[in-house]
Amino acid sequence: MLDRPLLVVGAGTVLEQCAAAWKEAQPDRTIEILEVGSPDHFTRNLDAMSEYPAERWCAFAALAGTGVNMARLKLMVDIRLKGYRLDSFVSPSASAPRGWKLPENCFVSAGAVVAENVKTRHNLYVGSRAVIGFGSQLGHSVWIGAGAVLGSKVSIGDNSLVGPGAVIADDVQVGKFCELNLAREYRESIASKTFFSPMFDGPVRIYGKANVVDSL
Amino acid sequence: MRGLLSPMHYTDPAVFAVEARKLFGQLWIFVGLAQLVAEPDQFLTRHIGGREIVVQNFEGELRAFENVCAHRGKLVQTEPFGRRPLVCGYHGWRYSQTGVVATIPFESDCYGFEAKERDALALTRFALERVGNLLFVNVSDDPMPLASQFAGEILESLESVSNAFDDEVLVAKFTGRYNWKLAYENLRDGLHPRFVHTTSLNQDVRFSADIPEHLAQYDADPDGIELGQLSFGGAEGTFLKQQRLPFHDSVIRWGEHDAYFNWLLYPNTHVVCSDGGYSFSIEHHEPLGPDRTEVTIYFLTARKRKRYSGSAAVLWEYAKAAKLILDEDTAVMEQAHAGLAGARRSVTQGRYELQNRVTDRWYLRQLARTAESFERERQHA
Repeated sequence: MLDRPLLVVGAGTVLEQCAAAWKEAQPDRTIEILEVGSPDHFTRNLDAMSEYPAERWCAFAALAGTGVNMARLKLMVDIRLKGYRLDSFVSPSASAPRGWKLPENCFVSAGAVVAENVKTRHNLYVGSRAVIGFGSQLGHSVWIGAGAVLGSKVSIGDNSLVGPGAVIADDVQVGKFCELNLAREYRESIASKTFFSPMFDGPVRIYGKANVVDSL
Repeated sequence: MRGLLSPMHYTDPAVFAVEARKLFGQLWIFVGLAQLVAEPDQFLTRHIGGREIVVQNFEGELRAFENVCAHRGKLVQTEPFGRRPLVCGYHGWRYSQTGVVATIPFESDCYGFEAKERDALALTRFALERVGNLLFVNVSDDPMPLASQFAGEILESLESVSNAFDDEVLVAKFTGRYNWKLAYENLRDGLHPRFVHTTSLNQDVRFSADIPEHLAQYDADPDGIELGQLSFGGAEGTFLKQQRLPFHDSVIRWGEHDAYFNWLLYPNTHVVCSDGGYSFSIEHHEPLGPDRTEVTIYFLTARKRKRYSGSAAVLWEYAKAAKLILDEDTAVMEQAHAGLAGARRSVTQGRYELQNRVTDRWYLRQLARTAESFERERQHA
């Protein structure tokens, strides 16, 4: 945990939630909020960050995981390119293995439970009361919604979103750029670029040549 | 003007059955995109007029067959899209590119076919045409030329626009409780966005609701209507405001015309370009019953100039945004269907709806039955 002042940058409820949780957990730390809007839900002007120099402040990118976490990832990358160190947070009321090391820009909400041997890359968000089972592997920019349950040795690919209340059975592999937005059990592995949503019947899939360029 | 179709044309299973034979069994029907079956052994499956269709790539050549194994009638390919040879999973019968059974495991031990019987084992083959990246199948024994159904200028513009399609395609489905014809009457109605899409599409685009006077002659000369007149398209709406999105720089724009493009392909395909050439969607309304329609939508951008990491997010966000507008249409069509189900008289049409009227006249001629004849048949049954 860094002890520099913290600038929480983003938009929407997630910005408010993350900043509030951080302030409650670290009341003696200087924590500021910077709301940055977007004309297209993707690009954001970060010029106002210049009031909080990167030499003295660290930052956290706080955005919702919609759009397979791409806007969240871009915000994180843009902040890092400005020279900021990115902090991570585990709520004091979350349960995680002693000494669990989190990479940059991760957030674990109140009441979440993280079992042993869980590995994650940067930019993880874990909602309140979510459970991540033993030995699970999480790619970068993964979003686990409130109350979601990942069984043991589950694998979630980069940028994928597990919606609130979803249950992933043991050993299931979820590919990259997926959204599992139905609060149901997922028992079989899921190919990259597959979306479950109440807006459509059955899974929505992207077909065609792989066009993913993993930029981080 | 009193509408030409009676409520039963939307709600009666007898009408639906005749449509399956006389419309969907005779016309060229959109089945999918060529880039989804571009590699050997790739396939797609669809239904046309109640028949099961598979389009399969054999070493680069596309063929369409009835997707029903000659042995026990099982579906040969069971997924909407995929990549595997044309082999039935039940007993391993493998089909060649001519549709005949190439190999049967344990044939000599277990089947005992005579030579003549063996030679006749084959899948029913259907006519397949490709227009740019759009694939059409005709299940008729004597298919009409594609050019009889779609005028030359439509085919040219479809070829042009679909050749601009990228090969990364999002495919989504949803079902509505309405008759398929209502979807196209709604799409041919340029006035409805001002009321149905008040806070969505109508904020960005203005569609014309002009009276198509050139169609007025067909009220006096209904026999003069030709099938090719039922499909049309091109720039239809003008932007009130146009959003510039980051992915625009990553794709090769189709044309340079700042307009909302619509192509309505009779009977059940709608091609849309809502942003002046950067992205596209194709809606295919498949009738499941007189009161149920399954909509398959393909979302894609123009061909990528360069690969970019957010392309999946672009397609998924595009699909969700479009679905919000489609939900507005679905709600009114379901309400219209519910109203028609209990109605005793035909709808009323204004002169701006002449395209619907022309389509209805051709439809009735194709079905070769009047509402009264269906009514007599129903009462008799």
